[in-house]
Formats: sequence, C-alpha cells, structure tokens
Amino acid sequence: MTKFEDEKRKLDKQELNEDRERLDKDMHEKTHSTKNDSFSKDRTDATPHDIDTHMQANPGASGEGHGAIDQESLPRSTPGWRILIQEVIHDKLALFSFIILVVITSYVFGLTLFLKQSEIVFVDLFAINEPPGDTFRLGTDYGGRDVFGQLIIGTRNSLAIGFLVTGISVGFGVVYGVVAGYFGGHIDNIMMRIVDFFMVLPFLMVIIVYVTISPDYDILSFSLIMAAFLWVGTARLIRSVAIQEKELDYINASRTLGSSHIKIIFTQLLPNLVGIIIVNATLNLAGNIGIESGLSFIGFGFPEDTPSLGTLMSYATQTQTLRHRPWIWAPAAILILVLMLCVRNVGEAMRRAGDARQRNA
Amino acid sequence: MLKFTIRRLLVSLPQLIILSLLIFFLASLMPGDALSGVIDPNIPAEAIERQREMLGLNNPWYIQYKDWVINMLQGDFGNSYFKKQPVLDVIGDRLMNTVWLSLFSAVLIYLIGLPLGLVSGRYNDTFLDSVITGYTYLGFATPTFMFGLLMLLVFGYNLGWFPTSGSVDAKVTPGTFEYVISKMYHLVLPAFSIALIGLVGTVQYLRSGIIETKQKDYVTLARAKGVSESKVYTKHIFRNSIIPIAAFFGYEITGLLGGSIFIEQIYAYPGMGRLFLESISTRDFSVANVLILMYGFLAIVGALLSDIILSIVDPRIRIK
Repeated sequence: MTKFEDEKRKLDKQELNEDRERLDKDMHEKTHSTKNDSFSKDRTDATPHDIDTHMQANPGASGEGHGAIDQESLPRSTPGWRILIQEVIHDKLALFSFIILVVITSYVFGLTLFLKQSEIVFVDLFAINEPPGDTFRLGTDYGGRDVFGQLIIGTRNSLAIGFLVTGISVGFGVVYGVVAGYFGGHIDNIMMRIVDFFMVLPFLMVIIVYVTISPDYDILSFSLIMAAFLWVGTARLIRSVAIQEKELDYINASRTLGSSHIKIIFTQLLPNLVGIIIVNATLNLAGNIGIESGLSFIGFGFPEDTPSLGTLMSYATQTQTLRHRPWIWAPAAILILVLMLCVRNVGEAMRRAGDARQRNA
Repeated sequence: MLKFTIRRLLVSLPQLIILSLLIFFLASLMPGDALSGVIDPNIPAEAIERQREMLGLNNPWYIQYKDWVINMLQGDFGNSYFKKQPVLDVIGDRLMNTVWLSLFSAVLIYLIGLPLGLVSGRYNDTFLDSVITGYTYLGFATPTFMFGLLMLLVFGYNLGWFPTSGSVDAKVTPGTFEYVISKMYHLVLPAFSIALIGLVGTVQYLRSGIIETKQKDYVTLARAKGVSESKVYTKHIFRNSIIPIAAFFGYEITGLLGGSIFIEQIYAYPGMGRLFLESISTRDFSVANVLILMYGFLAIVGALLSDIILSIVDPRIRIK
C-alpha cells in the first residue's frame, strides 16, 4: 500500500472516531445526567433480567447430546422498534405529546375532508380583518378569508409536507449511508466527498431560487427539492452507525455463509438500524416542519391559495397585523410550537431508548 | 500542522470548483443575461445579435464559464440587471452589516451559552439545571423567525425600547461616535433574537460534555491533589469539554451568516440576506447568483476553519 493510501485510511479512521463521538454525544445528551443517580439502579434492574433469559436458554433445550442449542427455544431479543414504543409509553411526557400529535393530525386530516380549500381561500371583501366572532370562529385575514379554515388546511399542508420531505430524505439518506458505510474504501470515500459538498451548499437560497424560477410547483416537487438537500444529515449518521455495525460477528458470519451483499444489507444490517432510523426521522420531522414554515413565512413556500402554517405567520410581517390583529397569526404560531415540541418530545424519548443505560422502561 | 492545513485546503478546492459550476448552471436556468434591462426596444435584432456575439453570450458553455470565472477572479462580478450598477457596489455595505450582525450574535451565543452550559453541567439535576434544560428544550422547538417576531412585538412595539427596522438612524452622520452607537443600538434586538435561540445547541453540548468529563480519572486525580473545586472546573473539566464546541466554531459562523435571512427580513435590516430576497423578488438574478456564491464560499471557509481549529485543540487529528 502506498504511503498516501495509508494516510488516507488513517484520516478516515479519525473521521469515524469523530462521528462516533458525535453520535455517542447525541445519544447521551439529554438524560445522561438525570440517569446518573439512578444509574446503579438501572444496572441492578438489568442484571437479573439478563440472567433470567440465559437460564431459560441453556438447559432443557440443549439436551440433545452434542451440546447444540435448540434454535427454536432461544429467547428472542426485543426488537428495536418495540423498545422505542416501550420507552415512549413509559415516558409520560412523550406519551402525552404523542397523543396530542395523533389527535391534531387526525382532527386536521378528518376535518379537511369536509372543508373545501377553494371556499376557504375565497376572498370576501366585506369581511376584511374581522376579529373572532360568531360567523368566523377565529376571525378573518386581510382578504376576508376565514382564519380557522386556513389554520386547519394550513396544518394539514404543513404536516403533509413534513411527512413527505422526511420520508423521501430519510429514505434516500438511509440507503446512501448504509451503502457507503457497508462497502467502505473507495466507494465510501467518493460518496462522502459528495456529502461534504452538499453540506456547504446554501440550500435555503437554492430552494428560494428554484421556487422563483420554476413556473409551476406543487407539494410533490416542492418536497423533492427540499429533500434533495436534507438527506445528507441522515446519510452521515447512518454511515457512521453502519461502519460500526458491519464489523460485528453476525455480518461476518453471514458473509462466510455466502450471503450476497444486497441480502446482508437489507435483511440483516437494516433491521438492526431501524431504531436509529426512526429516531432520526422523528427529529428530522420537527426540523422539516420548521424549515417549511420558515420558507412560507418569507413568501417562498406555497402560494397563498395553498396556505400552510407559515403562510398565516407571514401575515404578521405587516406591522398593523402584528400589533393589532393577533388572531390572524397567534393560533398558527402556537400550533407550530405545539407540533414541534410534541414531535421533539417523542423523538427525544426514543433517542434515550437507543441507549440501554438511559432507558426508563 | 502546516501539512494538515495544506491537505485540508486541497480538499476545499474541488468543492469550490463544483460550487461555481453549479451556480453557473443555476444562473443559465434563470431568465435574463448581461443585456437584460439595457436594451432599447428600438434597436434592430441584428444589432442585438452582434452585441451578444461581442459579449461572448453565444459561445459554448465551457468558454462562457471560463470567462465568468476569470472575470470574477479579477473582481468583476457583473452588473445588476435591476439597479444597473456593478454587483459589488450593490452588495457593498450590506456585506458589512451582515458580518456585524453575525459577529455580534456569535459573541452573545458564547457569552450567554457557555456560562449556562457550565452551570447546568456542574450542578446537574438541580432546580437551576432543570430550568436551563427546559429552556433548551423550548429553544430547540422554536423557529428563529417566530421568536424574532415575538421579540419585535414585545420589545420593539409594545415596550418601544429598541428600533424596529433599519441598521442605523438616518439622522446621524457616518464616522461620528453617535453613528457607532446607533448602529449598535439597531443590532441589539436582531442579534438577541438570533442568539437566544442559537445558543441552545452550545448549552446542550457543553452540559453533556461536562457531565461526561466529570467522571474521568484525571478529574478525580486533580481533586485528590487538592485542587480547589472551582479550579477543577475551569482548568480541568471546562477545557476538555469545550473541544467539540470550539471545533464547531466555523460551522456556527457560517450558519449564522446564512441563517440571518429570516431575522434580517423581520427587522428590515439591510444585510445580505435581505438583499438576496429583494433581488429575487425584483428578478435581479445577477445579484442573487453572486450572493449564493458568496454564501457557498463562506460555508466552505467555515468548514475549513472548523477542521483547522479541531486540529489545534485536538492534536490526535493531525498526528498520522
């Protein structure tokens, strides 16, 4: 191996260590401290359980003579997603947040089945800037449009785009990260240089330019252009985890038994990353809703006839509206805050679940 | 050290080239070229065509790209379609306004964030710590633009303590002491809006760093030697927990520069972000392109800076 290659590998190792540290930090961040006191307690909680499972596994089943273990009676480890759910249910704040989220989402999506977007964004010049009253539950905006209806449709649009962008970007980022991390070497090197490049792009500005010059854009193309810049974080995270994971014995065993790379990646590596992927997606969801509402706020998200929560907020850029007509923007502001807080609460609880020492459940 | 820096510089170079290529193609997708806005409708089409030929607008893309890059290296960034003056003049002091805003915000972030993180890490699981942690929780969930609006409403309009728009009072003359004071006064509200939300990451990182470092053996050793508790924290724990934050300094600065779009818009602060939005809405793409290029360049420099700082504070990075 040439000297240069050697150096390169070492650099990569450092990078990996860095990534690991960062990841570890991320994982520990929140409740490391709170758990410090109950740390020993957690340990003692965990130990008897462990012993328990081993005891069940060993005798009885392996009585065949060769000392072979009967695969069927081996206790199965709890799958990652179930640990996440357990943790969320155990954490009362997270559970409460999750229930609020479900209620808001189903209420909004249910109600929009009966509301017509064109009726809500219909301009009524006889009812401009009306405060909340009998006819309009939350008043009207400068175009005489019902704020309540806009709020419902806006929440739906914001949530929809949040889910869509998160789905696309996390999906792509996961595949990209797993491939880079699993294969390593030159492939990883090239793929990560591309990621580095995306990291330094001023993506808000590129999105704004796109929105301006593209003649017709809808929810799908808008989500795609956002996702085109937002997958890199996920890709980096997943790559660093995949690098650690692929060194483990089960991957080697699978390789030795002759499984193809594709099979290993999709049936063995990915299932073991599900926990981290879900956590990452949840935290990204909060961020993406924030980015979308920010873009709509400065007028480069959706057009006014497709309101989002950010569109309602953007009316507050007019001084008169900001100062004297809070009913137009305050509900949207509160909703954004509530949504982001709830999503983050659930995400943080699941992130804690990723570290056995910090689990509550 | 030098070797590491040079190697790192070499990585940035292709990034810069790809960035410029990307923006060149983005620019070619945008409507308008160097003749937009200066053409008299009475000029015959052949004359325009001759002019285009002379300006090299009919050349294949790689020659146009080469000309574009060479022009920029010579400091010619083209003319604004809308304002009909050189782009650099249009950007002019907007750049400095944004730099001041970002620097002021960065100072505030570290000035407020570091003590908060230190206290929260040192006295973890106390009432004070849960207040600070609660604040970071809220801060993570609040979009900057929303917080900025709230600050504007409360401190700008309702209490009337601070100016609500602009970067300087129109009445003061440049160069005087009052001018500087007025500038600072206009900076306070936007900078605090950015900083109070922006510092939550720093607080969280420092807090978890300190809690982790607290249990290290060398801290116990320091205590055993009889080092006073405050010295243990300032000399032994803090220094080691600050490494990731120091390493993020470059990214932080670029993030601040780029993220100021929202705040500049809310406070009508004449900076680069606001100029970008203005030029987009007036379809002045020549200015917008240069701004994107500048932001991209700053981001590359920021990443470079971060890596170099990291190699200084953490020597393991640069040792082969």
